[in-house]
Amino acid sequence: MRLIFQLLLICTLAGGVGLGLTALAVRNPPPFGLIEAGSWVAIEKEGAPDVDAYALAGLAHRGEAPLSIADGLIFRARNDADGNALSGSCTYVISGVMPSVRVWSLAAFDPEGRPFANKSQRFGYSSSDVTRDASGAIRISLSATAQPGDWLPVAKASPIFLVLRLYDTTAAAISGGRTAPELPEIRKIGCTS
Amino acid sequence: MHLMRWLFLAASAILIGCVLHIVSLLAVPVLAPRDAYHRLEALGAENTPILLDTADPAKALPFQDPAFVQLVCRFNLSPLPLRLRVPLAGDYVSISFHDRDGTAFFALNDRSALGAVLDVELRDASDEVAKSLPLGAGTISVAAPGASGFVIVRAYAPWPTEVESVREKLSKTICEARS
Repeated sequence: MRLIFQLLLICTLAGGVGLGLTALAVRNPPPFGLIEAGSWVAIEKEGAPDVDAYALAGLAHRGEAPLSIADGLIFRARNDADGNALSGSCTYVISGVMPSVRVWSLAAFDPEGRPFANKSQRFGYSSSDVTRDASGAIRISLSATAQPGDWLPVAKASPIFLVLRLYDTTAAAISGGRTAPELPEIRKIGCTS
Repeated sequence: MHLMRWLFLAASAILIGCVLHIVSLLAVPVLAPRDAYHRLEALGAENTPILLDTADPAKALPFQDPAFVQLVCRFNLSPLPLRLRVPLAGDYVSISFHDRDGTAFFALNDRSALGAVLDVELRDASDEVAKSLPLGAGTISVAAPGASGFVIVRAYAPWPTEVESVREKLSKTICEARS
């Protein structure tokens, strides 16, 4: 009787530890092989033929296909510059200079990976249609309410996942000897309650 | 003695848990019911080009780039290789090749094109018969590690107003079994 109880206990504990770790790992990339630039995180080998099991499981869980390393690099951001989760209840400004690549695109999604429906069909900005100031910097407002200038509409109260894709380049090519390229900063401007 | 026994129980639970973690992690790409391959399976047949639609989540992959028009084609290289002809529909056009589990095993972009199309033949690396087939002039041969997987074609639409014309051009893509 005692043996059966102990076996059951081991199995429950093992199941909890094993499956719990897997569930955690597919939602949050484990901290190895990452390229971090401010709020932005890229998984170095996500689009490589020798992708690791963690990156591959994360992609399969989200239903996403990776961007091949020969095609470019994906940076994702879920937090602002202060480390707080991006939310549709707040307004943010994404500003700074993008690395010089052939094409880049920035888009906002809900946690399921769906773009935020809006009247102007504006789901993101890219290197051609973004507005740059005299120094070449971009300034995109991320908000559920209309903003002057480049405005990326999101849904109120929804968590926001930002995805920045840099095409036809590699991390090494744009990092200029540093470990990660410099990417625009995501700053919170204010929130509505 | 009692304490030793509990420690032993906890240690074995953690050890088995770690094994279970590795096994379940490796199983995710195989068993995930909503991974990229399964989502594309729901959109149409093998060896058929399918245009995705950014604005309609039912006809798009999650986190799909809205600045690009994307076309997908699930391939089956048994018994014949895949013929892929992609018109250079935008300022940046690329083709990426994925395994059944999503791994990107190869990609090329418009820089590799000789004319106004990217002409590719995808062959199963383990298929000896396919290797001996003649290759057309200007056709790029790509070796696939397995018989099934999918291809993603991306064409950049620099302005939202250009999406329609890029879609129109990209819809001329050919993705079919070699005849």
